[in-house]
Amino acid sequence: MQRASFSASATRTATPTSIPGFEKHRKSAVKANLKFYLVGAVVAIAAVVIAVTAMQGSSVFYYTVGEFQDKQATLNIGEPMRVSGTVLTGSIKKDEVSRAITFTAIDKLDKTKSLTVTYSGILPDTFKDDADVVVTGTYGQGVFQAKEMLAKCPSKYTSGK
Amino acid sequence: MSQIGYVALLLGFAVAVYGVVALTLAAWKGYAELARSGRVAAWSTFGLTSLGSFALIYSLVTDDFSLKYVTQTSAKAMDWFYKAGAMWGGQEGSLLLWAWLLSGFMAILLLQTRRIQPKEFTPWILAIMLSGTAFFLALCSIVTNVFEKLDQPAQDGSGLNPQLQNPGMLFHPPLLYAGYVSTVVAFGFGFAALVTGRLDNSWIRLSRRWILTSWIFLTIGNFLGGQWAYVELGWGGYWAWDPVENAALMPWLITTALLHSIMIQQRRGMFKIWNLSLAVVAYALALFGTFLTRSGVLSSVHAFGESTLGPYFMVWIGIVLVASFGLIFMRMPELRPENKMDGLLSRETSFLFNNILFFLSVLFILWGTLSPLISQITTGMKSEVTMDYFVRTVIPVLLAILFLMGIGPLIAWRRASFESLSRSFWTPSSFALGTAVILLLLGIREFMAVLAWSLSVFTASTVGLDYWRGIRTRRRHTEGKIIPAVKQMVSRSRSRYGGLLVHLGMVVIAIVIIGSSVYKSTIVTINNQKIDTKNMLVLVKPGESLTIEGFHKYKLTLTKVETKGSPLKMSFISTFAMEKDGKPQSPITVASELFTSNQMPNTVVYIGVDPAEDFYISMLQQGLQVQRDAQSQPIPDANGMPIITEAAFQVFVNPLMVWSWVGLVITIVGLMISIWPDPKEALRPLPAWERAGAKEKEVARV
Repeated sequence: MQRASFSASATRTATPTSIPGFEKHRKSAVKANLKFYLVGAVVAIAAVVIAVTAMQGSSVFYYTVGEFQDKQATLNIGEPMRVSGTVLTGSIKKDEVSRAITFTAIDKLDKTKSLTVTYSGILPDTFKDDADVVVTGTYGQGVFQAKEMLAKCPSKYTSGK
Repeated sequence: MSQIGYVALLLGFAVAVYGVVALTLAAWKGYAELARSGRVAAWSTFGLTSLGSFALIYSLVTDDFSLKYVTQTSAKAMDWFYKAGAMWGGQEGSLLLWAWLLSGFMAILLLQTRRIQPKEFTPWILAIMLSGTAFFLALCSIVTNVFEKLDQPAQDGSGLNPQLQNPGMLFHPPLLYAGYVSTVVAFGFGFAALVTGRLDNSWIRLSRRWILTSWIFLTIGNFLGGQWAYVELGWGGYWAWDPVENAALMPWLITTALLHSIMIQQRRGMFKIWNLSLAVVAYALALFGTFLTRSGVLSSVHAFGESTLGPYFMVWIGIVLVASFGLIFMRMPELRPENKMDGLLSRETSFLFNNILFFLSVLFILWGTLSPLISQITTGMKSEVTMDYFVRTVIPVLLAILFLMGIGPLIAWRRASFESLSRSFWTPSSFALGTAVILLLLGIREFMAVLAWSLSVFTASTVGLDYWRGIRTRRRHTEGKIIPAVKQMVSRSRSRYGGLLVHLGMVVIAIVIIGSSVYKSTIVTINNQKIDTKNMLVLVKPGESLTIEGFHKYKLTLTKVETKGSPLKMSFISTFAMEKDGKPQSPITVASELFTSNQMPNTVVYIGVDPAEDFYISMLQQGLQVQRDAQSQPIPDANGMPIITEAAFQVFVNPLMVWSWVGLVITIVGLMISIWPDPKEALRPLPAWERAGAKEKEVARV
């Protein structure tokens, strides 16, 4: 069998099927490599199983406030999900006793769509009027109870074009 | 100055395009004149890009607020070095930084290619780097303009982001970018090999030190990113599996796989397709990482908002992938391995397994990071993954890699016998087992911690034993003296002993990560109540005390909260008296600030560093209670400032954090040993299979 040449002008190699005895060689090559294929298959299956089970246990649906309002009827109460929106200016209210805050999140594009959110955890420093927020939690009885809150200043680094 | 800069960038782009065409034609048709002209074009591009970059930095440092970019990213009040650093504070400047770094590395290659063999690679590697430079120059001067002028020059900039006024922020982006950019070299040499058909180990030999360079920059870049998050952001953590963080981690993982995999091609002429593919994927992921940060395609705390650059990146990455894998496919017959796999237990298979594990980790991360897009396309509904996904998929793979790091060097080439492996396996395993026992005796019950720490000790002891055996053998030649033995041993086999030291550094960092993940203390006791500071506010009134326990016991008493106003910012400063294990310490202060110009908040964190743990406390903006009169009006103090009656804090104890720096230093030292030029390298005999087939061919000098 022709060995791969190192010179830069090498352009031709013998095609596999033109070599006598190739079929027999290929069959024994597969047999010799069987253990590698088996181990490979095990690894591949394990990887898929790990990824799929991890994904199932940790996916959350992600909606904008507008999408959430549209789909509201079809969603399960109590299912964890993420909603992104903007804090309606002036809507942040702090409960003096429980330290929980309530605010209205509005959809970025359609300002008429809104959602009431309560959150009793730690607020990021960036949480303020007009900030972009992503809240993770559950919806029930007209209020979205957020367990996690991510807030970003209104975009600073837009390319402008 | 900015006019000069703008013209320089446009000219640089034009010259670069010319250079790419000239070099490609020269390589294809052998025109020596064009090749020389192409080199001149490459040098000119470097010069022009540098000029453009200097112009930008000059504009920033001299407060040229007629430029939109300067106004967005800088402000009069910033220190000059932060103003210079504002070059990478925004999108357009970061693109220019990419172009500058790329042209800079290309300049180094222009110098290197005067002497390297094989000469036919030169025009291709230069053309690839020049085309990358052209791409980024186009993005920051034509598609967007870093030197765009405002209609009316502004009085001051609004770029003072207090969270970026931190030394870490000065070094993290350029170092990470240097890592991203340098992946182009291995890609370029691999591509050159594919195009010219010279598919022996030449491209590996030429790329090896560049791969190591890109690896160390990526390592330090990622490390500093985590460190910055830890000290600046106030949540006491350093990694959130954020899309942009993942985008920086993936090239690192692939580059780590690549730098191991090339050893197999050098020794045994195998893994040729793996190595070419890994080099291509590393570069593609580096581009992808830059794309993710710029396109607004995924939401992230880092994301720079919506931008129009997404499609350009997608096309560029698409071209890179299609051209490269197309060539690999066409060259398949010439990429057959020189040797085949002998035993299922061998150095070769462990490296194969290594490649697979790193590749899997990248697949898992990519899958999770892109899940919003994938789910949107496949189901019409967008869904994201939480941090949990990454912990459940990537951590097991990393633990497997940790184990492989230990036994890899112990497994013989070609076919290892179980007996020989068990002999070298025995001592490190006993250390690991001993560690597990000690940890359990110390009361540590978390399975993950015991397993991961025992694995770490296993791997660390294989490194120690390897060094020990080597020194012992060498001492016979140095009359029993240890230092000369170490020096001789290391210089005879730099890449082995350097690499082992890098493994040790990584193990130390792994130990820290395990400890801080499992044993972070977040339970604070105040007024006889236990509060978990991770999700609840710890509210403290002046005079009250809180305690938290880690390895040490900390007691903090809030002595006062002051309000200070200045034109720059409004600060709320809390001072605590601190006791550590009952012993009084100097008072500590933390602050929460609000910058007046752009209403940006900032947290001034206190971190008490100790070999055992970091004591971490930060003040939150929320929870500030102000003293009010009967009509709920704030009562001012003597300076007219509100009187704070209660404030909220986050308090953590993070074990072992300071040791991560030790791990980083060990890693850097090991890498330097590995990368150090070895005068004897050229004299080392080639492996038998390479000697038999090697033929040098003379090509027109370029």
